[in-house]
Amino acid sequence: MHVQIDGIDKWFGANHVLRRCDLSVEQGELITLLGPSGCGKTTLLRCLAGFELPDGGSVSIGEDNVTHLAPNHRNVGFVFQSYALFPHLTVVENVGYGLAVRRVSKAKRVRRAMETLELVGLQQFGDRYPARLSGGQQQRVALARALVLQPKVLLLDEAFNALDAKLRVAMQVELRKLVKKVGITTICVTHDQTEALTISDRIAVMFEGRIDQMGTPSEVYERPCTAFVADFLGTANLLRRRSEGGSLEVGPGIRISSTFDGGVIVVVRPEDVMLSQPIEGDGWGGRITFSRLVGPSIEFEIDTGEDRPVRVLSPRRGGDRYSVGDRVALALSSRDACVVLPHQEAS
Amino acid sequence: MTAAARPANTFGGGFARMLSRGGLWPALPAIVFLTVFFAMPLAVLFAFGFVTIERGVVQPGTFTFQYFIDTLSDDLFWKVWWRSFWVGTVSTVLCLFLAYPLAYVYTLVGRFWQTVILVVTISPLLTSALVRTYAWLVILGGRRGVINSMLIELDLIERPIRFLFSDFAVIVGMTQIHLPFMILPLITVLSARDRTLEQASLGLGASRTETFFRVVLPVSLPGIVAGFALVFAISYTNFIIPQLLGGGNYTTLAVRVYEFIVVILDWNKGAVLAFLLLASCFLFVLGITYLGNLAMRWSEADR
Repeated sequence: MHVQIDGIDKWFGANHVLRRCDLSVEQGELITLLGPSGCGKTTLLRCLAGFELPDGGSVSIGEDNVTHLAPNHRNVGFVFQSYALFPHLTVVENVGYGLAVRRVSKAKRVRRAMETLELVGLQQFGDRYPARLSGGQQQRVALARALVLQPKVLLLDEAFNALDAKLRVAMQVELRKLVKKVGITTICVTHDQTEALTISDRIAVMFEGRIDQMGTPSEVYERPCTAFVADFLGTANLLRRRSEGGSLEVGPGIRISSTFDGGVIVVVRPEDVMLSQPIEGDGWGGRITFSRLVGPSIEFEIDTGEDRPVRVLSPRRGGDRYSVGDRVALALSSRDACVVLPHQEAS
Repeated sequence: MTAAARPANTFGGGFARMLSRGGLWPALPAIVFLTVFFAMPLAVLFAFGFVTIERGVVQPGTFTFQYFIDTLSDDLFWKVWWRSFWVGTVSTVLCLFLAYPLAYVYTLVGRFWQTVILVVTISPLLTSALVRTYAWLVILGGRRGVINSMLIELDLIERPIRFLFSDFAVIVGMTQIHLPFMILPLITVLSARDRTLEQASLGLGASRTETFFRVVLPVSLPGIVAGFALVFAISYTNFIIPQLLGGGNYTTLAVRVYEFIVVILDWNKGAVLAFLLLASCFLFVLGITYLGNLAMRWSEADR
């Protein structure tokens, strides 16, 4: 179901946690709220679930304004970071809990719980108590418990945090497949940019109580609109430059156009910078001060005479020609650089 | 490993090794103390139930089950036992119903009120149970008792109501005096509970009341079992409260033990009763924890 958040404000004491947040999620979409800890993403999610009431603004699910509705009247599925499975109930009873509360008969309850458990691949664990399940299984029970009620929206709060790295990736893929199969509108919260990039249809990057940017993973990664977004997703070189008359010079001989004038930041991804042997004359370049192998690539730091070195990521094949101390030339295609305003001036 | 690599066999080295090896060593002082001052005297007391004692001297070569048989076939014993059991159970159940709401409220209020609740709960423990029992004598007493004189003053009654020297007085006194022992384990368990479970329950559509009965109450079962076993054990075996608030003709198993050993000086019978009281108390506590564990099968995987 469609979810609409308009200008939500939330204060915890003197702490302004959410600052006029807007968010619009389409039916069946999988959205991730991404940001560092303390950016307000979990609070926003809890406002959607009704565990927190916003101090201003409104929340609508489908056609209904639910801003002040208690959580038990919203029919929203919530998967907690700790899963919050009831320890005194078996897996089937956990999944059937919401149905029991709705006075569904026991036989029907068990049947629907088992159907949903089958969906998450846990039908053979129905009689177990949660304490006897692994972390991944517990997470799937929590998911089944939320899904069995066919909620209007599914909300997941850092749901993959407690899993080890390998299982986490598998569960992320599984979640995306499941959610798409069921066709439910889903909003996840995470501080893990890889997770956000892997599973989402769109990402909302949050910083200091605001949504800085909302877009598809590739939009957000390739066209960050603030220095914070650029820095938070992947690695980025943030180059301070001055823009005049609609263009600026990244390095000698490399001009790109800019929509802003004055002090700006040029965002350049390390993998978009190309290394070559220095040619005569003064192009953009410098001396390699550091290199390290990162799986299939090599990461270099190049001292170009600015206060921070430029980071470059080259494929191992080809990159291994250069070593620390070498002088290299840097090249950049103008479509791979992106100009944003410095943080202080961004509203 | 060579001998030289080990710590030198000084007292300090040996002592450190004893502690680090684990096992029962660190508990040794307590074990010695309890053996000498608790287990052995108790064994001697129980032994008195099986031998003949004449004028304070154990007659050698006498061993008999006669005192046990006499006691167990005595109707009075069973009557008295029933009263101990009944009064203990009623006061324990009352304690539970009074303590649970308070312990639950404790987990909802702010730090200031939590401190107030704790102080109010614990401070009675600073005075002796004997003193608190006497206080109940004053409150429940005859014409000049606090309640009666108030009711007479208000012209609600003409003659004082007989509160004292009844099951009622004993149960009221026991419940009040043992209440902290129910409140404290409940507070411990309820404070440590995972609040996200309640949010999960609300999120799944349950009301607050339903959440309490379906989630909070079952999850706090360990505290209920602990408090119930503790309060039952001390209520069932208490002899001061029934003796003072029950009056001279009121008797429970514990009161009879006291009478036989201290007043009548019939150590044989006293020893038999003491043994039966302690053994049955032990069985009841075992039964309570067994039932508790049955109801808490879910937590087995944690252990």
